[in-house]
This record gives sequence, structure tokens and C-alpha cells, in this order.
Amino acid sequence: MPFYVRKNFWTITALALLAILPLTGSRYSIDLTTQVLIYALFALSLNILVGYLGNLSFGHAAFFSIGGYTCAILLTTYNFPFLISFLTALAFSAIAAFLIGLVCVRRNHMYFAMLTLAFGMLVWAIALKWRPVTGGDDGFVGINIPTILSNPINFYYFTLLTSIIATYALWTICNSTFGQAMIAIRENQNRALFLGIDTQSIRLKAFVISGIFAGLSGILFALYNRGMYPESAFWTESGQVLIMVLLGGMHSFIGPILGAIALYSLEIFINQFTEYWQIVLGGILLIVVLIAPEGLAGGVIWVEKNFLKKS
Amino acid sequence: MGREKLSEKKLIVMLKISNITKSFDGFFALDDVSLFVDQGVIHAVIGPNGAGKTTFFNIISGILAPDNGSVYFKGQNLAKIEPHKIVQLGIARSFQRVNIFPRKTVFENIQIALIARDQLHRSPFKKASNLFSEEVEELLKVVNLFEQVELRGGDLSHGMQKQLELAIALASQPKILLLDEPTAGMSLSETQSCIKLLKNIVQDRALTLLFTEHDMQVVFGMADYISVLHHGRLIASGPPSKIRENSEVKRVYLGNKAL
Ligand SMILES: Nc1ncnc2c1ncn2[C@@H]1O[C@H](COP(=O)(O)OP(=O)(O)O)[C@@H](O)[C@H]1O
Ligand SMILES: [Mg+2]
Repeated sequence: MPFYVRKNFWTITALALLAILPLTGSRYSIDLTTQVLIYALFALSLNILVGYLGNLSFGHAAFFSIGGYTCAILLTTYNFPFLISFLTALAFSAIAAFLIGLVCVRRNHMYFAMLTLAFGMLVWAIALKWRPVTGGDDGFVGINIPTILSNPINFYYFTLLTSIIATYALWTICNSTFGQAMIAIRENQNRALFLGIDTQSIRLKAFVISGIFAGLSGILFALYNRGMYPESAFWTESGQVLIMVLLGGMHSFIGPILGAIALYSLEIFINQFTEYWQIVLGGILLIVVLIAPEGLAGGVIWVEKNFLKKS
Repeated sequence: MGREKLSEKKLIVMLKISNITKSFDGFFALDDVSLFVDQGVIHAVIGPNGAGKTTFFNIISGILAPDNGSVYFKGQNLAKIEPHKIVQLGIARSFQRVNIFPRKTVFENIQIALIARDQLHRSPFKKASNLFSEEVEELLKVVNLFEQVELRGGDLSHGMQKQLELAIALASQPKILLLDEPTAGMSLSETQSCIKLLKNIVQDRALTLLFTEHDMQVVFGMADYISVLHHGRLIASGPPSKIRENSEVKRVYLGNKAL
């Protein structure tokens, strides 16, 4: 195998499988994978804050829903062209993240987390109460999506392509000098400051990047469901994506993707048998926190180290 | 000796500290302290625990704002300049308690300092891996940590962590280096080699060094100039020979022991 292929074996395999998935002809697996891709991107975006910057956010659903609602409203209420709606929705997520971030990054730890929670609630309340624009608790339904995307296979490929580009962008950012600065802030904010790093502006920038990609996943979500609902902005949604990140492993780039796959599939699976998904969710969280703080990615690394010794 | 050597050159004032006062809830940690730090000089600030040395450093580096007085660095007033900008001007520091990135590797500890020096920490698309590897290597050789390059900072011995922090501070290529008790917690032999190292570094790089230290041997063996703080007041300032003779210093600080 050429070096490049060997080094990226798993990535290439996964992408190949994703690319040929529609050949199975299973509508169920296409839909499931589309949803998992969307949540994986959402979780990756949150991990910029949680894993790289070391700031816990309980309000990430705010940006997810701002992206989704904005795109939905522009496409449907205003009949904007798809690309313009899409890009404007991204811009709105970025602006919202900038403004909210300006306030949040002034604080650390608990207070940062509480501020994100507060802003998350605020966005949820707006989605719920601004009925003429958002549709209130009925949700915003009947999104006017381009005909080409109304075919599930096309939409699947659209989501796949978007996710690949976004993941590559996030990967580049995380492995950049900026990424090292985020990790430095996570590890020791005070020392980072006395290296000459403007820690507040790095944190704000990370907040905005994280918000943009959350907005992107929200846009995909709205298009996929052809609707947007206030529940998507509720704090339990922020909690769920946070659990995906923790379950997958926040100190690895790929962790949140694994977490999204595992949690989402598990939810669908468990829901077939019982209504008590929350109990399972709580159990998973307990196990992760108490036994496997590095999550699934930590497990993968452990297996690799102990059983797949490299030749 | 430092003075004579230096007086041949024209003395340039690096730091000009005037009438600094700082109180915490009515307790004066620093009381009307003024001093100059000349370029190229090894300047020690000594004084018993609680004398105000760390507070003094914290004011220079912008962590604390003085109640009164001013700090000028090469003619520029540092009041209202944020700490990270003060670093960028060329004032690097270490901390009394080890302050590194314990979960980053030794390599990454230095690399991030170099990234910050070149202001690359803002670039989200500049690949970090292997960046500055040669320069990191050089710096690690200077502080004798080259063998440990792949270890995590937090796994080093205390003395090595101090060395690592020194290398981190050096990485930003400062004009003046502020070291708060660089040998604190080191064994005798570690202290001695650290001092030798510091002397070499300062000479090689034409650095100005302002440091605090509790070990008198170290101070008198190393400093060109010594300032003595006591209860927040500057009670003496001068070359080691003068400080040795100073009766007030002997009385309040050195317990009348012969130096
Ligand atoms: N942030 C602070 N709040 C209250 N008191 C402080 C603070 N920082 C220092 N002090 C007090 O100021 C005095 C000088 O402390 P410090 O500068 O750390 O002395 P040194 O470094 O010479 O041992 C001490 O009595 C200390 O308790
Ligand atoms: Mg001190």
C-alpha cells in the first residue's frame, strides 16, 4: 500500500463505505446515516469548545437552531435562492456566536457554562414565542427545499459532501497553530497569556468557529426534516450533543464522531424496546465519567496499543 | 565588577520604576518603591518572605495595577497595557510556582511559546506539527532537556520543570527576563548548575535579567546589582559589595551574619 493510503486507512475505508451506502437500496440506512452525519458535525463543532478550548457549553443548541431557523425562514418565508439562504444562515450563526461569545468568554469555568446555558434558553424562548416568524411551538414546517435535494439519496450525498468538507476544515483548524493555542489555553490559560497570547481573543475566535459549524449542522437538520422546531433549541438538545462528545472522547478529534454514531444508533435501538431512553442515557453518562473519561476514542487507542502492536 | 564593565558602555535604562505603591486591604505590599534596571545587567531583588518581591514582578508584568507610581520599559509607560502585550514588547517572566503546560510534551511547551512569539497563534490554517522543531531542539539543548523532548511537562522532576519554564521564557526572545525565584525547590547541585546556566544564557544572549532569590550565596555570586526589599520598602540598592556592607540590610535581613 502506498504510504498515504496506509496512514489514512480507516478514513479512506469509512469514506468508501459511506460513498457506496446508497447502493444497498435501504432507505432506512440512508436516513439513519444522514442523521448521524448531521449530529456528528454538531458534536465536532461543540468539541472545539469543550475538548480543545476546555470550556464547557450547555447552550450549543442555540447556534444549531439559529442556523436551521434562519435557513428555513429565508428559503420559505422570503423565497430566497438556496445558496443565499444557506450562506446567510451561516453568517447569522457566526454573528450570533460573536455577540454571545463576547459576553461568555469574559468568564471561565462554571460562569462560562452558566452563561452559555442562559443564552441557550434565550434563543429557545425566542424560537418558541416569536410565533409569526418561527411558527412558535408548532414549529416551522414545510421548508421550501430545492427539488434536487428532495430526493433522499441526493440529500444524503449533499450531507455527506458538506460533512466531509466541514470535517476537513475543522481538522485543519484543530491541527493548526491556532489549535495549539486553544490547547494551551485549556491546559494553562495563565501561562498562555504570559507567552504573549491574547487568550480572550483566541477564545472568542474559537467560540465563533464552533458556532458556525453548529449552525451548519442545524441547516442540514432543518433541510433534512423540512422543518425546524423549538425543541432543537432546548437545553436538553445541548445536553445530548455534550453527551455525544463525552461518550466519544473529547480529547481526540474523531471522538465526537464516534460518540454521535454510538449515541444516535443506540437511541433508535433502545426506543424500539422501551420509552425510558433517558435512563439509558444517564447510565451511559455515569459509565463515561466514572470509568472511561477518554470515551470511545480512548478505548480505541487502548485496543490499538495493547492488541494491534504496529509492525 | 559588573558596574565597571558596564560603565564603559553607555548605560541604557531598560526598566524605570518610579514610586510604586500597592496595598491589599490597607496592607502595604509595596511602599513607594523606585528603581532602575540597566540594560545588560543582572539585577537581583532580595528580601525575606512577604517582602513584596512577587508583587513587584506582578506589577511589572501587568497582572496587578499599582495604586500609585509608574513602570516605564524603554521609555514606554506600561500602565494600561495588557499582560500579553507587555510580553510582546519583550518582557518575559517565569513564576515562583512552576507554571508550564503539564499535559503538553516538552516539545509542545516550547513550540507554543515560539508560535506565540511569531504571532502565529491566530492562524487557523497554519499546520503546527513539526513547526519550529529545530529551534525547539536548540532551546532544549540550552537548558539540558533535550533527552526529555517527548515526555510530558508534568512528568518531569521539579528541577527540570523549572528549567523547562526558563526555556519557555527564553523562547519569546525577551529583552528582559523576569525570573521569580528560579531555583526555588531545587537541590543544592541543581541550584548550582542552574545558576551557571543562567549566567551563560544572559551572557550569550546579551539579556537583561531581573530575578528574585532567597539563597544569598546565589545572589552574591551572580548579581551585578542588588535591590533589597523589606516590608514593601526598598531599603538598599547597589552593587553586591555595597549591599554586603549596608548596616540596615545586615540588621533587617541578614541577621547580622557575616556575608
Ligand atoms: N493578591 C493578594 N492579596 C492580598 N495580599 C497579598 C496578595 N499578594 C500578595 N499579598 C501580600 O503581600 C505581601 C507581599 O507578598 P509577595 O509579593 O508575595 O512577597 P514575596 O514574593 O517577597 O514573598 C505578603 O504579605 C502577601 O501576603
Ligand atoms: Mg514571592
